[in-house]
Amino acid sequence: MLDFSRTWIPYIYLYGVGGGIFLIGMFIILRSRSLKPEIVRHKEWYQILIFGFLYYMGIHGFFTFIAIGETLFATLIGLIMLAMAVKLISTLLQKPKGVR
Amino acid sequence: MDGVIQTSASFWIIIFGYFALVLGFGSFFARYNKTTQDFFFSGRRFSWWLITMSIVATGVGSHSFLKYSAKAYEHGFSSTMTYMNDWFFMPLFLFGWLPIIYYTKVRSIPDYFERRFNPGVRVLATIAILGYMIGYIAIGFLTMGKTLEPVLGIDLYTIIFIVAIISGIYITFGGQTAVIFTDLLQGFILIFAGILVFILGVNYVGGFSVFWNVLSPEFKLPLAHFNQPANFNFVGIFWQDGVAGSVGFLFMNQGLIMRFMACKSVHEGRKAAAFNVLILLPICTIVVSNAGWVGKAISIVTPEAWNAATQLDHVFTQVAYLITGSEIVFAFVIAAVAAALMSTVDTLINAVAAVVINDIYRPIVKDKDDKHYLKVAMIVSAGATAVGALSTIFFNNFPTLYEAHGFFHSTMTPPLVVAIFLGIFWKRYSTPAAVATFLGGAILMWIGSKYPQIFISPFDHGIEFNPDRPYSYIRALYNTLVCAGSGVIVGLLTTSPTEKKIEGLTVWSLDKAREFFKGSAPNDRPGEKVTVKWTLKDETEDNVRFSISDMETMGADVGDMVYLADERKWLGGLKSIHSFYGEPHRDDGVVYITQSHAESGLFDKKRKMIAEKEL
Repeated sequence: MLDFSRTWIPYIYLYGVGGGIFLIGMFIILRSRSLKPEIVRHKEWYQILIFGFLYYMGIHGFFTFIAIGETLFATLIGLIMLAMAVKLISTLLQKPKGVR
Repeated sequence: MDGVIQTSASFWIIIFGYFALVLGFGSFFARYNKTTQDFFFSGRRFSWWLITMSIVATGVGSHSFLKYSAKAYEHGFSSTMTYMNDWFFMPLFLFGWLPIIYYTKVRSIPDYFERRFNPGVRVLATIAILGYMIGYIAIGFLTMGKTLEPVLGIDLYTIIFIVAIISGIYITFGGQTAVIFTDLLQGFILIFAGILVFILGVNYVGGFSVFWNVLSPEFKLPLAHFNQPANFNFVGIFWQDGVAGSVGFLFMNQGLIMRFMACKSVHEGRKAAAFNVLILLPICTIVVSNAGWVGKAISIVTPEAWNAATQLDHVFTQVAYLITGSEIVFAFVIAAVAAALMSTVDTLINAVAAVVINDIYRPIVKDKDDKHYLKVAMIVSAGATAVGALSTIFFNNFPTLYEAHGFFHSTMTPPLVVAIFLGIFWKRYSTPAAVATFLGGAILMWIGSKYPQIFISPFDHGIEFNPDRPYSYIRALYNTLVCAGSGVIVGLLTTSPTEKKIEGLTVWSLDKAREFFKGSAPNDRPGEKVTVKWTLKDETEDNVRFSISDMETMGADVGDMVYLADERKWLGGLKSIHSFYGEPHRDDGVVYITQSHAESGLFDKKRKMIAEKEL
């Protein structure tokens, strides 16, 4: 049996420290007005950026649960990720609105 | 050496046939190189899907099947960590660095440093970036040598010498367009080859349930143990690869930057990067690692079939040989991997030439025609190949390619990464602060490497001290902190640069960068694409003329920037141009272009064009 520190501490560190870096990045691009949520295309990018973070959290969560034999949680995460991925691809492939 | 794999003539016919096919494919597109701008940046014309697939071969090739298969065999699914931690920096890349380099039209990363700081900082950045890229080329050559070593059974350096000659010839004459198209083809083939190995491997061990059940739960965890062993632990790899490596690859890999600059717009560049990280990297991590997982399963299920003396860097080749069951399939897999590694190296050689020409040669030898610079670029490409091949001697001292690459990232990337980051995001970051980052950082890094138990151990997160290779990975954290500390302290103590000097060069003034790019205020009025026929006009001005109605549909005004491409979307922008809107006419559905536009875009008279406003 794998203990908590072997299973989840790296995950918490990854999304704690990495999440901090991600949040600082989001703060800077919003504060500097490099990303302007009022522009339709930028709003899509805002959603994609948040999606990407959750998507990777999901992938690592999914495989950790699968590895320790928690298939119910893994299946749940897998389904959520699948739905999110379909949404992402349709967002990326849809007709661009406006410029930039 | 752990035994030579026996091959027949047909194996080599397939290997050489594959190389000839791939090189011929790329060389066909080399005819699109008319200027140094085309040679290095492909004229900023490609669609996101073409760039994102070509990035696969560059990324996968460089991080390689060998390196990850070795760690996958030793440590399991946690070998995927390095491909799965790039998203943290995506906001800063997509909405910081990418638009800055694209809109400011920098020819190279050191070029950015001169504009942001001064020529002295450009020199420091040039030295750092050349060191980084030459190191990367060397690791690429070493990987190729190790891929072919078990097959050829000849001296590693002889193989490297032969491969270097082939790479040098190819990139010298091909340029960036050839590399992009070669990589595009290889991106698809690599993914196919990797998945083929996985399917055949799982089948070899008796099906997926057998494969899954023989592997231990710890082997299947996606993240490594937090701080042990010293040669593969989560926290060290997070800082070495997740931070220094990811930022280095995204922000300061000139080869990758040139790919993004070959996109037709910043938006396309963002799509290429996002699609790559979200969709392709998770696939690629399985593609490059699975041979190690399969190798481990084989060693448990059929230990008699597994050569226990296999060196870690030879795991991939051994597994491919065992599971393919056919010399033809084995030859295809080896050819695909070796050719992809060559793509990586070629991209970097092209990037070294770009840096040397634009950052060293052009400032010294001015006012020559473009053909002269193109010729010198080819000579530099050949020279970079030779230096890269020689540098393999140093990296071959490490136990595995993974550790060589880890040490390289931890040591080479922090000063440049910190200087780029602070340069883009901190307005106060001054020229003395940038110099302090490079020089002060380098001195403190050197002190840290001399006395790791004093300076690096406070950051070691409990990782065991290995006197032979102290803190291979976690040193990246110390190195990053001392470089950042040097820059921040000097930045706070010196006068900040004026707003005027850094206009358009930081994330805080991107609107100005867009304005500089266009040459006038951007037009953000929404518009649609239009499909038009084209005809030649007698005038020679660099503009194209649409009807009043078509311009209204596109939301465009005279003087705005326009992108025109062949209507066949699958060409990915290969036949396309950028220009400006001229005075409108009254023929709806027709665009008037110059002879020069038609030649530059290689437009087909029978084909329509799709036009869209850029800015």
